[in-house]
Amino acid sequence: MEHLYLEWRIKMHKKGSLLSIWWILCLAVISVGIVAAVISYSGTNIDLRGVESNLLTSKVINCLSEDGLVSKMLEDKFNLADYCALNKVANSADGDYLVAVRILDKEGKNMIKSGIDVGNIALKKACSISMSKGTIAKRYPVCVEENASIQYYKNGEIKQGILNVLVGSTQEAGRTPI
Amino acid sequence: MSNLGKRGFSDTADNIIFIAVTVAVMLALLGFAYVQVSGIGIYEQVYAKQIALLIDQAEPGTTITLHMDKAVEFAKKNDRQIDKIVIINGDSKQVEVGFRTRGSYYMPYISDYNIFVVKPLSQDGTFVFRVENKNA
Repeated sequence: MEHLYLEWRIKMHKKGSLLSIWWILCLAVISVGIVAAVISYSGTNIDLRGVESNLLTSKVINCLSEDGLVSKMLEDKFNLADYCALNKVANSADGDYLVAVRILDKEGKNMIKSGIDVGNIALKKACSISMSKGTIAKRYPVCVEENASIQYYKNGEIKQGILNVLVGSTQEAGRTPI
Repeated sequence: MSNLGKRGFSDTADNIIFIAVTVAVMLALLGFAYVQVSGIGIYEQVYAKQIALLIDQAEPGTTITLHMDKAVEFAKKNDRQIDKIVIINGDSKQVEVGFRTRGSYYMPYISDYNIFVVKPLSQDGTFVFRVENKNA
């Protein structure tokens, strides 16, 4: 066996056979390159975190302010997830989403109501980093913060205020094996 | 004069082997690229995400009609039952879309409504989803 191999090596050396080790190496390099390029193209993940955050923000604002008037949210036992039909799987404490809502006075200085948060509260800090100007935070949640002009009841009076909604999404879909 | 080498390979045989190996590698690469780029994985992802976003935007009482011709085409090729292409998993609140016999692509949705796949219409690729209130 070794004898045949040595003969083959000598033949390669003398004749410069087409099937040289360099050609095989060349094929291997080209193959690896093509496979890597195809996998990187077809394995592309479509990132919808921004779309989801925007969608969830609008959903929460529409849900909380009926014709611009916020009333239920000021009640003591208000539950945002139940009221706005947000499921408890996605919006659990270790989930992929954060919804933080507060009401400010019309100048935006004084807090009227806060602490109505749903989902993964730990994302709040990550949101403040990813939303800061000039930051590119690839693995951070994509967050959206929106203010809506609203009216609310206080001491029997209707007052002007701002509904502030912060939504973050780290959601990543994937494949199930079976 | 014979052009046979000591191992019995002629130059012609050498050339044939060289061409065969090269062509085989190129064909394998083309086949691999075709399967990958034909888009089964991408279509599964796109449909799953599209359905999840439609569900998230929908109010209770909404009926969603979606034409998924490609899904049915892929499923037929891969022997996947039409009514198993889209599965709405109410427990884990996610949409699962698959065209192959095994595995699917999942995408969670945010809403807390009951989602029903009313009609994966037999062969024409039209899928109808109904969004209902939980208490309905």
